[in-house]
Amino acid sequence: MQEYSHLTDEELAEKAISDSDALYELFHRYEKKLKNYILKISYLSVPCSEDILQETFIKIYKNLSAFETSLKFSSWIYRVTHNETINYLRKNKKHLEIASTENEEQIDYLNLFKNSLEIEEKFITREIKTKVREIIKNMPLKYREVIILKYIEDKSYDEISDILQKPIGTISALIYRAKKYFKQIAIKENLHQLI
Amino acid sequence: MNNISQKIINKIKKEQIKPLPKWRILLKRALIWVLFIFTLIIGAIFFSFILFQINEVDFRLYPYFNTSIPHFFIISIPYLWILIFFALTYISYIDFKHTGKGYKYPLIIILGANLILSGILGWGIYKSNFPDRVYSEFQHRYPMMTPRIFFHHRPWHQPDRGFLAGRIIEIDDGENPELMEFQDFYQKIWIIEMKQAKIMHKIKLENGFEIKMIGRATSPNTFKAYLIVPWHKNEFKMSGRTMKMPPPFY
Repeated sequence: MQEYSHLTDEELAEKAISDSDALYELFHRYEKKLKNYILKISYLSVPCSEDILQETFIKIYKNLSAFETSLKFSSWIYRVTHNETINYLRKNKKHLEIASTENEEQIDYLNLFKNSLEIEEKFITREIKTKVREIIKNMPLKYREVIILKYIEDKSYDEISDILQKPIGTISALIYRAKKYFKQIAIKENLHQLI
Repeated sequence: MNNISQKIINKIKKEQIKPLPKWRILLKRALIWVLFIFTLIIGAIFFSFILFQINEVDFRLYPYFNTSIPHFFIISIPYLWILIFFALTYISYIDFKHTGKGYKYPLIIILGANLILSGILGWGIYKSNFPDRVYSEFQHRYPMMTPRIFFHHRPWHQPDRGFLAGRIIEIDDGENPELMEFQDFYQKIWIIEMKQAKIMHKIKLENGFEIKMIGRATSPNTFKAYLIVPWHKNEFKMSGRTMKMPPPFY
């Protein structure tokens, strides 16, 4: 197996069309990140999220020639993952297998506190974490996805715009509204220390 | 390497999944642009017909409808065409959004730009007399249907309120004809009494001529005309004289 770890995503994507080792390296780089991303936006079970990831990777491979170098590869792969997840949720509305709390706990929302709400880590108790998870879980999807991309996946506005295929202005407005929504619920839940 | 990535690589190899060829992707992208340009052009053509139809509204007739100019304008504009035009503009917006970086632009910018582009292009098409030529061609082939398709004719199809439009089938010979046989745009035959009618601009009424009338229905198939106006505004423009409207009859 050839060593490809020194190559950028974009270089790998070019090679991956005809080289399965490069394709493996590319998938391997994103496997964990994308699986977590699917879990975070969908709250599906692990097996479901793996099914989506499998479909996503196959789609990525089929459409590798469609990748435009004007876009970051990570934005493109997140976009395909996002679209596949949303399609899955739409198709399986009635028979969704929602993740157990155990699975949810794999998701780390620490960045959300650190970046947006500026609270010291030591004050974040298990109870607070659970409450925050509940708030995010119950957020409308349009808010949840921008919050996750911005504060958990640490994406820039431009990248979020490329992933969700929405204008930057719309992304800013959605993030603003999502934070406002979060704060309103947080007040109701007595999470004053986060605001 | 017992992970999802390896499983997928194995699946790809086993099922011999291949990446889509570049030409197919380029063709798909090109098709979206073609679709966008096509809907933009069709929208522009519709816009040119809307201008043509609005230009045909004779605002000097508004007092006969016992209403104001804005209301007369509202009842005379071709809603369906305007609706189709906006639908086409919206479709072109969807097409544009699916082009490479189309999603980067806000709805208002894309819609506004599409409207302006269709507007400019439509104005050019209108100025080239294209709608006039299409109307004449249709009128020649489908004489009864054409005015109904191209114009918001309903305000002129209210015989009970004294408005009637259609085509002359047979008219008395001579300088001052008193009767004519007339077919409205819904194919109903009427006998028109026109002894007291003022014929706008003294146009020579002939068989096959399309007119609109203001008067009174005297029975289910007779109509007494007080004012006769050509249906197609250009027909009296062509005579090159200024038209003076008589006062309303009410």
